[in-house]
Amino acid sequence: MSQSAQQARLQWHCRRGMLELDIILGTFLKEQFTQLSGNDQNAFEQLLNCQDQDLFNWLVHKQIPTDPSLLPIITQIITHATTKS
Amino acid sequence: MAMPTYTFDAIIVGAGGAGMRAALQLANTGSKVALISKVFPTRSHTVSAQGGITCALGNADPEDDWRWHMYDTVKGSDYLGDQDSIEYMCKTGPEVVYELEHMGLPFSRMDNGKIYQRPFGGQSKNFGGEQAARTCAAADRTGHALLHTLYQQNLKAKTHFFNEWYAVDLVKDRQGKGVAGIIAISIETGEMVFIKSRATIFATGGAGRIFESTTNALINTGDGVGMALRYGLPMQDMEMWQFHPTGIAAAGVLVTEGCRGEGGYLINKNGERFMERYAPHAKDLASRDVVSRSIALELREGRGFDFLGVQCVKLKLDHLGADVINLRLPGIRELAMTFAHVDPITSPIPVVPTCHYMMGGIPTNVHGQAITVDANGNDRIVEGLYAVGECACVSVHGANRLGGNSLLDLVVFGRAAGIHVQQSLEEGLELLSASDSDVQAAMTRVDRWNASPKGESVFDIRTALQKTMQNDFGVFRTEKFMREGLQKLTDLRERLKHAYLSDKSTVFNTARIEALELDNLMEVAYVSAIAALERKESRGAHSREDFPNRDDANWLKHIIVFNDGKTAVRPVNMKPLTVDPFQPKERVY
Ligand SMILES: Cc1cc2nc3c(=O)[nH]c(=O)nc-3n(C[C@H](O)[C@H](O)[C@H](O)COP(=O)(O)OP(=O)(O)OC[C@H]3O[C@@H](n4cnc5c(N)ncnc54)[C@H](O)[C@@H]3O)c2cc1C
Repeated sequence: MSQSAQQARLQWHCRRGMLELDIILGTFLKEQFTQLSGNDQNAFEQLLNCQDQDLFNWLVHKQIPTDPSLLPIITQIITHATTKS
Repeated sequence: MAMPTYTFDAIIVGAGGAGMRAALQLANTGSKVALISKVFPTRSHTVSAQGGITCALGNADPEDDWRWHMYDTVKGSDYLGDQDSIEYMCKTGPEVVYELEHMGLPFSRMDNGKIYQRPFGGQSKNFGGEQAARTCAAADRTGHALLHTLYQQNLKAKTHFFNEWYAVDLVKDRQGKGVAGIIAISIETGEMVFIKSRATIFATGGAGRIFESTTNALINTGDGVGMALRYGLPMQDMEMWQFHPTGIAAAGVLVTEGCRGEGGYLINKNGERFMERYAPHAKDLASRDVVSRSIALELREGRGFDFLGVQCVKLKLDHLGADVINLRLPGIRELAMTFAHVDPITSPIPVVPTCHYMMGGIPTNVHGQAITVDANGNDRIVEGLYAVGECACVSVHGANRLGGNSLLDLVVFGRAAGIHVQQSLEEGLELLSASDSDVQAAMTRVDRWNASPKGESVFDIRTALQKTMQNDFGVFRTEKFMREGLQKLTDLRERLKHAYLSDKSTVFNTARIEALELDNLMEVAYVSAIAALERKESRGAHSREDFPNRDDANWLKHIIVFNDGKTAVRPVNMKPLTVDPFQPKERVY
């Protein structure tokens, strides 16, 4: 899949059932994704496969995911969401 | 042109709580069912419903009675709800909730093992007496649990899922008898197909995105409403939109009443605590609609702040001090920092009245069958077409929805529609056939956008539409501004016909979907505006400065609007089958 097709797919997958997630994930994809390392890009994709309710707890309520491999990307997303000018 | 076609007994558009409950009913009885959803089913907006589902199980209070729930719902609806539908919902509710329990929905429990129930606003015992506790929940993830349970059950029942497919428009049959099926586009590949079916059920959810400020996710664009209107069907009660007074400006995320309970208060751009003027006694703790309208008036008078281009007031908490905020309102602080980038310890949070729920929709009877009104003003059932959930107006919420009643509406009427379709199939519901030109007609919009050579962007028109709805048809409604607003909408609707889609790619083209969604937002906004102008009284969520009182003599009726702007009325049903009707009274709490 070409890079733009991949981005297009991720953009649709940032459409969620909760407004909070639309905003946090959509903004991160738009503003940060291309600057991420390959590993982090994969982690972001993996995150998008998770349940909305879990994403909400991790990204909005700052709960710790049971899968520790997701923590670095979650931390980056939260930092981006809360420190944006 | 040969287009791929599929044939099913029933197609359900929308895989939220309502669509999945309907699909399950049909798939379990052996029908061939297609369930189409633009997002993966468990990402439907129902997942946002964290609060719970209301019904009179009688666990918290053994005396509880579905008739008390019915009374509350009729009163909550400001008497615009249809009493036969409300009766059916409240009476059938317990059975439907127990079915969900048996399917494995992990409800929170009481010590004795029964489903736990908590109190919500608007719930009473004994027809308006003490507070009742009637809302069942699965911790703070009821919507999630509901979607999961229904999704798993549908997999088991072999429902055919079209995930990440977008329904474009209904296809008429060649004799004009009814619906032959639907045109859908694969979001992944751009492929278009014709899905033929004997019955079509819309379960496409709400349309809060017509407003600048809404709690609704981006997917809530009223696609079912748009499709039904273009097909020639009318909408009902579209002036009824529920608002919450304090959503974070430019985001929509809710800030709960709790902040004001802790001593937070609202200020205008002059720093004035304006609620003292509107509600000298209750001030910032006045009821939701009073606070919402006061904010709207401040904005109308030019006393708002500008936050990222959005007019708003601010919620001041800093005087409470860091300790109180950190101790009692930590969640709010996080929301403010994430969605407004302000720290309430030092600066106030920009807030604005925010649209939450669409009470109106496709008029239906208790079986979910879509209803239209003929030239003589009589109801006519649309053969083979159904609507359930937030996109429908079976009218259990009337002019105002009570908390926890929407999830109940989804499962009760999703199931009811499934049962009715099943019976109709058994009785030989016909598969109607369409001509090439009927199919072509349903593809007009996609063709139009694909061929658009230049013009205004989707973003610009959508932004203008949302601003108009927010300013002229929000919580502050008056003839003069609504007339101006309707003119703006009419112009925008014309401009939309010439708007431009620059991205013509096929794979996961979000821009194309957004263009198709904008067509629907426009239709929803237009009929909402007409209905709001039409209703010359204040009732429930519809509050007019120029007609401040409820007027049962003239307006105790549903307003019907077609997409050419024609209007009609339908009587409110006051004939429940097993209880005496509840007569309109002044609504005081
Ligand atoms: C923040 C928030 C909290 C809430 N909390 C509660 C609560 O606690 N209790 C309660 O009772 N109610 C609550 N509500 C209201 C309730 O969540 C909704 O009314 C309800 O979930 C709507 O369900 P639905 O099945 O009608 O549609 P949705 O769940 O919105 O699903 C719509 C479905 O249609 C699909 N769809 C739409 N258009 C198309 C198309 N063109 N093609 C293909 N598929 C399409 C979508 O993909 C989706 O699957 C809340 C609402 C909000 C905004």
